[in-house]
Amino acid sequence: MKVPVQWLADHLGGPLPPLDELVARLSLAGDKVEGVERRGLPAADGVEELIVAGHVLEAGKHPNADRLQLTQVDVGEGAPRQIVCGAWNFGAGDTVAVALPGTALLDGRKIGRSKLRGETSDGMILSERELDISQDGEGIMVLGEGWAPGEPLAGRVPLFHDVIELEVTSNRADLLSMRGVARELHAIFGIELTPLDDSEPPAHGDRLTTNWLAVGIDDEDLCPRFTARVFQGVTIAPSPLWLKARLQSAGIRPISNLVDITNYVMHDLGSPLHAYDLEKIRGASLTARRARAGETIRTLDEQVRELDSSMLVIADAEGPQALGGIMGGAESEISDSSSMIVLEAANFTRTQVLHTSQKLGLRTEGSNRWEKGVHPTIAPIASRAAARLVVELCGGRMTPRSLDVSAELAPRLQLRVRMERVAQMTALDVSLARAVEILDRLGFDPRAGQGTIDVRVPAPRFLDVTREIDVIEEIARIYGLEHVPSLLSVGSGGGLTAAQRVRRTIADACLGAGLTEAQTLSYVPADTPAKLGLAADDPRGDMLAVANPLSQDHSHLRTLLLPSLLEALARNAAWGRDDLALFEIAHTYHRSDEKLPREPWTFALVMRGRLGGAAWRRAGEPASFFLGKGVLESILGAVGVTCRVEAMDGDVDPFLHPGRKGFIQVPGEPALGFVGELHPLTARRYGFDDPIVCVELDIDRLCERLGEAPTALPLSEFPPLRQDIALVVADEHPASAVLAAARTAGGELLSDVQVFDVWRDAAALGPDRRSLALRLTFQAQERTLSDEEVRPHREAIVAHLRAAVGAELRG
Amino acid sequence: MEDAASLERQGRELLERATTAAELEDARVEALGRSSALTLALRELGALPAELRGARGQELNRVRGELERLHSGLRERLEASELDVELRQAAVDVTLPGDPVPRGTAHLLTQVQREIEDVFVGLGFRIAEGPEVELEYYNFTALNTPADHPSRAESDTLWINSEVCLRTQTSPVQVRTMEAQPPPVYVICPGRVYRRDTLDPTHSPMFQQVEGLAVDRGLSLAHLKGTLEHFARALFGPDREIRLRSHYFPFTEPSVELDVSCFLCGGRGCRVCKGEGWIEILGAGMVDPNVFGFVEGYDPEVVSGWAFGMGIERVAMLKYGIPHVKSFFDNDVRFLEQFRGAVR
Repeated sequence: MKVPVQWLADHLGGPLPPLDELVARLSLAGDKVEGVERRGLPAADGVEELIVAGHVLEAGKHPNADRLQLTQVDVGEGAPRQIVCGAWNFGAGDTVAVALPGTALLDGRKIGRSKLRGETSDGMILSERELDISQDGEGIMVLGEGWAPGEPLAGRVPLFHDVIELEVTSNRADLLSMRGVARELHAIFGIELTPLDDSEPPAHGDRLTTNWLAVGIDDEDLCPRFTARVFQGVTIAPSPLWLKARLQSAGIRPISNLVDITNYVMHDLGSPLHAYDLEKIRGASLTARRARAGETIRTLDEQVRELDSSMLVIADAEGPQALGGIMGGAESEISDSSSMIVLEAANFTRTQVLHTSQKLGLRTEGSNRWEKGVHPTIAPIASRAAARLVVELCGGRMTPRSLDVSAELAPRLQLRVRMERVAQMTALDVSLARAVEILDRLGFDPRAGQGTIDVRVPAPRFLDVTREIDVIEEIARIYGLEHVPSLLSVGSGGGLTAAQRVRRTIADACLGAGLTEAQTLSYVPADTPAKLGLAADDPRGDMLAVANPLSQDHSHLRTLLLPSLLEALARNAAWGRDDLALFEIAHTYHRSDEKLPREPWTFALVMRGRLGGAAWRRAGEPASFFLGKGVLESILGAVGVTCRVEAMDGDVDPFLHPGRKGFIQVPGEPALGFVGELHPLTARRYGFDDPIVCVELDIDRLCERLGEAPTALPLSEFPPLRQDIALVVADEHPASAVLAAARTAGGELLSDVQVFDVWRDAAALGPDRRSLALRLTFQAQERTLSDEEVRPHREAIVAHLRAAVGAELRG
Repeated sequence: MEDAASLERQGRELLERATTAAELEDARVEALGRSSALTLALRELGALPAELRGARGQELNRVRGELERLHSGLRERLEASELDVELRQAAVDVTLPGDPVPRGTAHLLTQVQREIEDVFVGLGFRIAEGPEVELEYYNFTALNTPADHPSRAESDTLWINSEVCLRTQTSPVQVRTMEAQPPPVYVICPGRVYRRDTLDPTHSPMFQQVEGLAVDRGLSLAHLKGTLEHFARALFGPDREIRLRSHYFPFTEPSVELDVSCFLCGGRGCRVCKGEGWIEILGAGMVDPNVFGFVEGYDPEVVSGWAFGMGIERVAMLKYGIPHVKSFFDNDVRFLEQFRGAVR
């Protein structure tokens, strides 16, 4: 909202504080100032004296240029000045505005005495655009009667404006008016608020308004009030300069006197108005009613708009003439030839205006006010203000007895504020007298009681202030939040939950393993399951769809983190980073039987290229299944959960390498996730032709496996005895089965068994077989073990391995 | 018979002449070895008359002791200098880089989020969580958002169906938390939120907020101010000042925005604070009594509360000079790695 400070002064009876202070205090009181703009001529000493009225004594073609005029202008100096001008909309006898040499214009140009095509030009004749009075730069500004040559314009027309840009929150429709902002300044600074001129202009003639026009309301919920005045003999012409300059400073384009008046009063008082050409109104009636199916209206912007019954129109006997509160219709638009006009000051309720303007994609200064809520009692005040101006500026003769149809209006809301409650909620030490003063200045008509104040909510605040707490806020913001003391809230016992700690632990384990954390968007495109080759019945393919996505890339919610990380990996490859490991911890979204989906916390990692830090002494580890599994094991170890990786059937998770993928498993439960290399065909779809390793894990389910904290075990004082055995085992028996068999047969003395070597040699070992070298560690709590004591245990292990998994001892 | 002093002098000369460990060993054999003059002299002691034997024996043993001490000292010195030569030959270029120890980088948003969490956990707040795909009821209605409020519109909010949307703020966790427990409540809730916003330097279709909620007997604007002052100083430095500006949110009354004095210029006015000296960092307010009306057991005449909501990206962008919010979600590792150990 653009607020020209000089306009505000109309409503205030005392001097304004310095601009800096005004801006700072308004902001703190909740009327945030986004910026201050100076409009009009650049500030310079004496500039007011340099823009003067001039009488054109002579005007004719420039001897050397067909398009230029050569003029002699009396600016009150005795001798006229010769000025060259490019415009032809004036001539001898006119009064114009002249910038004398030395004036700096809007665009920074400085007027000097110069020669144009051989003729001296001693100043410049100005257009309205050059003075920021309007956009009109075609012709020059002709001032009309009553100006003395040399009279400074500044005495009658403001040459510059300080314009405050206010950020108005959606609860403060009252601040979309100069009167409302002035009241804030009255409340904050105590500057006197001048009483509003609410006088009725004189009416003429015997024929009452009802003889010219009938008005009615069909739907009081959408339009609780409709007032109308009729004027005869109106002359449509440009507005006077002061009005143009004011509108221009508030960011409104001046159009014609009548339209400018409606805009001016809307800005001044906050209740929008509309004017119709009465001769275009069919059947001499205007009714606020819902649009009928199939009706259309051509609005002022020349768009034909299709209407439905949720929308309110102002219709004459044959059809819509305006979209209530949003925009007028082109048919009854004011034109230069209009002379009988209808001035409407109605009231429209916010929801309809909001929905209609959204539906039609049409927002206007008017709709912006209605959708925030304007009280119906302001309409007649605005109507009188506009009527006075129509009489004064357009020469209109108002018909007697204006029309005012209104729903029954609720009386002003009465509220009681307890001062004790003010102190409780705000910790401010406000006296009853001070609170009364604040509320009085805000227009709440306060009446002090014993520790309480009774108020009546002023009309412009009817939606915003409905409860005691709302009045308390008014007191607090004007009294000053800088007076609120500081106290520290100390909670009732803080800390992280086990699940929250687990997520931090997983992240820390990944960082320790050299992985970089990514955060990717939760959205994925619809083709993600197809890109992964998920089976038709895979629930992860049944993603939640956003009904109104902003783009196709953001149309669904992901069920897997993997695709987003692959995209991030691909982007980094494009930026030249091929050796990279990324992880992410985020929600995934899965359909459930409830209204809301299941959103488990999910972990995923991807690895590509050489990892672990390549440098001059070493090349880094190529990404491989076992590197990924190593990080997974490190994470599980850090969290303290034991899981196994088990072979996955070739058809499951088809986006993974069929021979290098496994489930992350706890006995007797569905898998918690997977670890594997990406299938080369999947990798290709994401733009890769080298191995990509990935892990994805349901953290919520992992958290369900958190067991009791470990308890200390006795440590043996005696040295362990290590023995290595090499076994040839068929491929069908996984290493996990071999180790399990060894543990089963090892007895109490076997404290550990590890695979320390694997090798294949079809010639030496036979096809589909490999050699596994196991390191057996035996240890006793109370003695040093000897080879003799351990030998039978080792033999038992070997025998059991032969029986259980067909393992043969290698020589 | 050579006198002991002469033997000592000869031995010293032999030992001290050696310049390498090998020469020293030769000298030791010559001066102290089995066939050295000293050993011979000691061996001949027995042939001396008893009255001479004692004094001469004592003298010769003293000389042997002296020479042995001298030898061991010389040997240490020579060995040390030879080792030194050897070690110098094994010199490395210390300016070559060390072996890389794998160390990843936490995402800057995670670092900032943890920093925020740690401040509030330290004040005795818990970390609450809630769903990102949320019921309209919790995201809007129970937060006192009017039925026709523009934020509910299709142009602003992403909807799954007529009842379910992607949460546009972390505030729905307020009501969920109060439903789950009686007062007092002291929680913060960090998490992802979603808006139907086109990506531009300061808007993203997904970003992260942190919500704070305190409900107890006797809480006032003073608690809001003091606690957020502590928080702003923890995040932006101990010298920061804060100020509250009155504002409007549907779910708080009174509502405020909180400005912190600019951490770049200290309040004089600069590019970061756009000349104002103050930077807006969050919205806050006293919990609106209507919000309490949506939960059992929270009587606004008995308990009061304060709440705040803040964008984590915005704070990180201000603090670390990041010009475009998209940097957070591009995951360009060159960007991410700049912020290793950023929070300090």
